[in-house]
Amino acid sequence: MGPSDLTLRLQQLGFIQGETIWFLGRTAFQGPFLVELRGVAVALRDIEARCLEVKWIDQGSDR
Amino acid sequence: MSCPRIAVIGAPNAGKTTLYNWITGSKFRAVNYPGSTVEFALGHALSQYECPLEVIDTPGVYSLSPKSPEEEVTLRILNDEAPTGVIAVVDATQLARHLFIVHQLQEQNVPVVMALTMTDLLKKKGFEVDVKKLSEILKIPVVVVDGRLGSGVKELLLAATTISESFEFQHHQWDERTIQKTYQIIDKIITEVVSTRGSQKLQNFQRSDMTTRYIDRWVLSPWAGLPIFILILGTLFTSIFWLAQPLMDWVDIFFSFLGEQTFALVGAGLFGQFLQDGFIAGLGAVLVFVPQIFILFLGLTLLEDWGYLARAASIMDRPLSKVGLNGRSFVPLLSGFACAIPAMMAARTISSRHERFLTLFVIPLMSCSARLPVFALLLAYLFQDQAPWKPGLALAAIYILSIVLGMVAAALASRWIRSDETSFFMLELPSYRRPRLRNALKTAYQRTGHYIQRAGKAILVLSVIIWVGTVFPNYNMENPSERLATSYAAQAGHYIEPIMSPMGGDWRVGLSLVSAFAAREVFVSSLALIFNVTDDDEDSLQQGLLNSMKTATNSNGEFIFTTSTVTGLIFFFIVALQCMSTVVIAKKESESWSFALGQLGIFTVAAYLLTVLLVQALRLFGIP
Repeated sequence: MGPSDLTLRLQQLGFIQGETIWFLGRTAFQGPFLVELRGVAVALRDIEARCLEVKWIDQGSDR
Repeated sequence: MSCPRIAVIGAPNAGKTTLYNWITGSKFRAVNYPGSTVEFALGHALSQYECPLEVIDTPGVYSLSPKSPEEEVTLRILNDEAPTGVIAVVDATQLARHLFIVHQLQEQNVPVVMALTMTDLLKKKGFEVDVKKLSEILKIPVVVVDGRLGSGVKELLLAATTISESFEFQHHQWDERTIQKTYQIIDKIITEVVSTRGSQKLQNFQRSDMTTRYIDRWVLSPWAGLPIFILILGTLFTSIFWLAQPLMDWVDIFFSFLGEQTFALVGAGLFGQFLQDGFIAGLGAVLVFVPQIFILFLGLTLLEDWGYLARAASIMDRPLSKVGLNGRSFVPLLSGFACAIPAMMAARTISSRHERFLTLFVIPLMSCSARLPVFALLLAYLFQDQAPWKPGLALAAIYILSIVLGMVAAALASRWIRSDETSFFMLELPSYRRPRLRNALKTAYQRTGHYIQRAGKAILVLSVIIWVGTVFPNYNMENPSERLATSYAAQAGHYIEPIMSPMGGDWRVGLSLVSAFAAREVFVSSLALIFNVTDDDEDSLQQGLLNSMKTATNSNGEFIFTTSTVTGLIFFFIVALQCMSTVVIAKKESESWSFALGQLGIFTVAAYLLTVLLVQALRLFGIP
């Protein structure tokens, strides 16, 4: 997969403009980011997470 | 008119394999991990449904733009296998994502019928789907299917028959705008068809369930995740030893009894000797370890069903990426502890060719179930009359060592096989499901049954060869030691002895090692045969073998099975690739004989040289 394929793949998974995602944290060893979207948690490496532009909305503990 | 051919397509973990099993009566295993199906299966609908259909089960896909070999299989089916329709399997709890593939299929003029699964789970979450309305909006039949009970399957097949028509699949790559538009349509559909129950709010529809979120807070936590990971796998591997011991004793008693009864029934003739000393002793020496293998399979099955494997893959991604592997390599590597063959097939979910080859390369280093009888025997020898937790801990250390060696091999090989490919991970973490013990027991039973069948054949064939080799030509000699020393096996074994002596073994150990290239566990049955273990005295078969090993000496009168030799043998079995089936599968998965034979050569030579070094180093430090 090249970088453009990666962006497309993220979009197919539901990472589209205006989508609300929940940041769950990171695994041990500074491993993948864990986010939740459309009812499922997804683990993303730095290189994949960097493809996303995110605006932070603080919802207290429910994130 | 030819029979309609329907492909079952959907996102990973939507319930395709479970549905396929209901339709065809197959017994493929559905696993709570994305990518558990890596190749397609073709079957016929059971006659009870009164719908003569051919059905194809496919690997899960998120879209019709494949990114890994197993996803390409699904697209190839639509292109080459000429299905006349598609059953799109949609998990009701994942409607917001799974409708994407349905929409893509429809846009490409594929006749579709939707199977809506997991509606019971959706109800538990406090939501309901208006199936009639969903069908009207999408303009396709939608049928609710219960994966646990099989209800709705007949209606689904009837609907599939009605939509069935030949079509030409034309694959188009979707751009960003089309994807965005499709998700907007899906969101609109959801607001129209999903309703809430009780105090539930519609905005929570796109959140995972509370239990999964709660467990994940611990399991994926940066500080608790790793200790939990170690605890889960540590418990699994140490329980193999201490939990199985009482069951192993029963199997041992059974084979001792069987040997005695056979001898009494058939008599002391040549055939009676073969049955008792050859086949039953050989088979019993290996099958005594079946309870351990069963516990290993049961533990792995429970982890698969629970949904933990995707989490473990996420935790391991960073460390594995340091040696050129991928977090997605974790599940194939873990499966390698059961058997390298399905493990190598599971590596297809890795999209990077470089990482997939590295994973294929190191899988044989994971200690498969065939090695378990060998380790169990050698550890029982090293830890005789000691507390049972000691061999258990030593077994856990063997598993850890095999992982460490796998990582070292991957790090070395990744320097050798360089690649400019960018590596990706991106893994969906499915909701946790309560494992059903009955199903897990059934699966573990089936896997163990396959193991016994496979091992049993190899043991039977090798037992005949080795027994003939150790008894003939002087079969009527009274003294068994003299008979063995002048046997065909001894004559052949003396050619191996110069190779074996640096490892600390003699021709008998060498012959057992050579026979283990047919199947690793044959090493144990060969030892039992060569050392002529019978149930003559009060001891059980296993104890008899251990006693024979204890007193065995080489031609110089030195003990063969010393601490250094036995440790060396354990190390040899950790590294050596002694499985012809693995070589064949490695060739198939890599599409290269050079890769498969190179792997065989590298691991065998490395195993020998490292074992010699280890044995000599131990002796240098005064360990006998």
